[in-house]
Amino acid sequence: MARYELMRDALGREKQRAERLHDFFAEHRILVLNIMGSPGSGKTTLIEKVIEKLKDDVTISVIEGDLATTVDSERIEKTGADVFQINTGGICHLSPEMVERAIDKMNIRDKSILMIENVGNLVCPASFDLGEDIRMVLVSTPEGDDKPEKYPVMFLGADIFVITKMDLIEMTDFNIERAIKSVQKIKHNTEIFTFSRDSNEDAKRISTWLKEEYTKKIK
Amino acid sequence: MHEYSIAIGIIDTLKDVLKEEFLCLNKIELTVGSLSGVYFEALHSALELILESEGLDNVTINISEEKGLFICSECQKATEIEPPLFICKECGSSRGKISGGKKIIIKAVEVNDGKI
Repeated sequence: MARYELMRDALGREKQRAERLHDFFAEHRILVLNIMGSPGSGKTTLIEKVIEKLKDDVTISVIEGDLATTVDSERIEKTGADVFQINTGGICHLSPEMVERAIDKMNIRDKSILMIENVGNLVCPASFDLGEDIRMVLVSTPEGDDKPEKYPVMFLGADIFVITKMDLIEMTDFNIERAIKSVQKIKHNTEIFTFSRDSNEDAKRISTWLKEEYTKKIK
Repeated sequence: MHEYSIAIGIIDTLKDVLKEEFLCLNKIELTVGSLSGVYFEALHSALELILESEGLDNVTINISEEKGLFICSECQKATEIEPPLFICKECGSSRGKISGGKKIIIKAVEVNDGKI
């Protein structure tokens, strides 16, 4: 019997790939967002609205991650943004390897924004760094205000927390204060936004924040 | 079930490190962080499934937990984090740093002699 002490990071390979992506995005001054949330939390809608606001000032590309179909990438295409669809075929998260393969096939401009819409899921995507600068996590009001408490690992890495479907809040018992407090208990400096699909102001607030982050990145 | 992807990564790493000795694998020891987002049972089952597909039916898989610590900025104490509360257990402050508990480490392996 032989025993070997290894002390190896099980995600070592994924982390190396993620580092390569960070280097690539830094070299090309691309601001990258990893957008996560449950299926139906409004990720694609938020991306559409942000593109509408920013497209005259910044070039935006999108990677759409789904188990199947090109439904979301077809929606994004209509905004005029460059979009690439990844179908994971059953895998519950995007991996840095999938993103590497996608950017090889895309023609992402220097000094631009790349929005990566992860597979709808509040658990698995949290474990994989995709080379992003910003992690955005969405919870819609019908899902309930207890999501941050129930899925803390996801919120541990969140830079921005967006409460979506604010227009439906009256029909739910979603307590904004409770949701925000739970998120701040997990990570006190998370940026917080609220969002309704029909609110020009909401889309503007998020877009303005992103534009500032973009300006910092391209300096 | 991202544990399956992680399990594939672990097995690939072991094949790389052990080369032909991989077929004599007897025991895997892992340390999984309490904040890594990995469910022990799911990781265990995924590893078993992959090992079986490699013809390795009798590998012992030991998974131990590494607790994440909250290093408090107010009272400077380090206390164990119990999600969903990411606060200092000593003074209740939410200002501080998280230390450890996020990684999944392949700690050690054991291989049988002369099975090849």
